Parts: sequence; C-alpha cells; structure tokens
Amino acid sequence: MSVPLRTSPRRVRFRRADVYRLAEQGWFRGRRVELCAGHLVEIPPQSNHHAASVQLTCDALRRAFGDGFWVRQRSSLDLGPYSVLDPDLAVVPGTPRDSGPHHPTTALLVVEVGDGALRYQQGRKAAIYAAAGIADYWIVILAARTLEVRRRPVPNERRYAECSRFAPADTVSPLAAPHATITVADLLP
Amino acid sequence: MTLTLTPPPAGNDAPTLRPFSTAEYHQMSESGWFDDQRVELIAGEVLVMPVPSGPHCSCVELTAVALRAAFGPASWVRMQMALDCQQPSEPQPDLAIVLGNPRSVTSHPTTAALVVEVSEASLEFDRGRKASLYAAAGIADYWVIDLDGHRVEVYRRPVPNANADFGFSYADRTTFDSADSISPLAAPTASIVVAELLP
Repeated sequence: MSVPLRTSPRRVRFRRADVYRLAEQGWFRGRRVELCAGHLVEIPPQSNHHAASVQLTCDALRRAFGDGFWVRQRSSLDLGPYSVLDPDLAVVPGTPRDSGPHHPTTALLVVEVGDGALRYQQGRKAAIYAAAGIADYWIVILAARTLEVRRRPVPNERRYAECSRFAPADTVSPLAAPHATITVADLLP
Repeated sequence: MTLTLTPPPAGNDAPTLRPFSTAEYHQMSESGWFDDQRVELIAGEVLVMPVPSGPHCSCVELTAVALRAAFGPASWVRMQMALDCQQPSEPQPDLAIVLGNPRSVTSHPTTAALVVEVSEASLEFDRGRKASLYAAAGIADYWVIDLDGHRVEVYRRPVPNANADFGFSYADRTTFDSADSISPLAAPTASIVVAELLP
C-alpha cells in the first residue's frame, strides 16, 4: 500500500452554519470564539494595552477613511464555509445601515493588534486572510512597537507575497485610502 | 446548558482550541452533528477516526472471538463503544472487556478489565497519547495490536508521569510476536496465541 496514511487522528471540522447554530444556543456566552479553518479557537480576554491600541487604531482609521466607510471593531468576517474570523478591526465600504443582515465576506483593510495571539495572527490567520484575498492586512505588534504590513495576497497559496515592517516614526497609507498617511506611533498605546 | 471550565487564562495568552465537555459532545452527537463521521472525545477535542480498513475489521473480530473464549460468558466484549475516561475524554477503543453483563451496565463504563486498540497508521498515537489516557483512567491491561508488525504490545502498571499527556503512563511494556501467548491480567488462566488475533 503506497498511499501514506494519516498517523494521528484529525480534529473534527466545524462549518460556519454549525458555529452560528451553536452561538444561537448560547454555547459561547462569555467567550470569544473564532472559526479558523474548521477549528473552534477560543480567544483569551484582552489586556488593557490591547484594548487601547484597538481604540487608537480605530480612531486613526476613521480619520484616514472618512465618511462612507465602516471601521468595524472585533466583528465577524465570513471568509468561507470553514472560517469566520473576528479581526480587531476591519474597514468595509458603506455604513452600518446599508450593510444587511449578513457579515461581510471581505474587507478593504484588516488590522489585528498582536500580543499573546501574535503567532496565531501571523500564521493561521494570515493564511486565511490571504486565501480570502484580503489585499491589506496589518498587525500592530505591541511588544516590539512595530507595524507589520502584509500585501499582495496569493490566495491559492494562502500567503502574502509582501510583508514589511514599520517603526513608530514611520508613516503608512492604506491601499484603499492612499491619500491618507497614518503614523505608526498613533496606533500604539 | 452549563459548561464546566477551568478558569479563563489571563490576558496576553495564545488562543487555544475551544474545549468541549462530555455533555456538549453528547449533545452534538445526539443532534446528528457527527452522523457522517466516527468521532471520539479526547481531552475536550473531538477527533475523527479514519474508516477502518478490511484487515483492521478482521483483526477486531478475531480478537473479540479470542477474548470471549478467554473471559467466558460473565463479561461483555464491547467493540468501538464509548469508555468514559472523564476529564473530559470519551474514547471508543476497538475492544474493551467489561466484567458483568450488559443489563448491569446502564451508562458508559468508566473502566475496563482490558482495552485493546488495533493499530495501523495510528500506532504512535495509540502508543503515546492514548496509552497515557488509558493509564490515567486506571486501565490495568492495555494491548496495542500492531497490524503491520504482526505483534502485540502489552502495557501494564499505570504510574504517574509528569511528562505524559495525561500525567500517567505504563511502567511495563512487553512485545509479543506471532508465536507467543498472552494471558489477560483479569483472566490469568487463559492463554491467547498472538497469531489467533492477526488477520
């Protein structure tokens, strides 16, 4: 028999519909949960630094994008049948009122604030964002006080072709708001 | 429905897989979530078991016949049925001998006189994580039938072991080849030739 066999059991995969049903039944009350490639991942409570950075980044993105865009905080992106992620921030066109009953399936820019979850955000989450074709994916790295910018997704390889790092004094412009400049220090607590 | 959880970790920790309690696992099973898959609950993770191969199925049956003869009518040879190991884990060993008759066992048993796993590709998992799980559950006699190697590994004497997944491992491991005979701890007068178990 030449077909290599799996050497350890694999975890069951949950689908998006399964997770919405569990959520409605109250299974995740009090816990933040994401569906990451079929696996239910529990996100621990955030530190105050994390919360501060999320708010500072939200304010900076609102200034950068202006009217006609919704800067969503810790809300779901529906990225396929096996992935529903809750990035710290996601910018989508339009306003909350005209967004309809379903979570968006893409975003112009996704920002994660990284502390304890950094490896998860740089690894498995980045792969899912790339596979979904998210063009602009930033990670605010609190401990190192840097901003990582991932661009040029290669969806069928689940990776980004470009990853750059910026120091607090540097400025960055979102791909979808190229006229705006954001100083990295403005995102850090 | 409530969930018994360990206290949540402090902020700044890495994300973890959301663990399922035994109650939640049963609820999902009863709702038909796993209807098209064979699953086990190991330390709060629901794992999918591969569809057993022909040789695997034959081996299970041959072993059942040999164990029924060894243990006699006052025991129940359970095949791929749940074993409640608490914490929460509910594996479905290929074979488990539970003393007494089925009418006296109304919920999933929490122990067994002997557990047997038939291994093809899952050998490392059965020798490692699964062995630790069964040792922690106090299973005194645990056999792993290595189909490709044509032998049986017998694990006995569960002891605490901080390095093992579930805090316990087996102190004794003995390998028996085709021509060798094994006596189950709980049926010491019986003698089972390894070749009888192999397809």
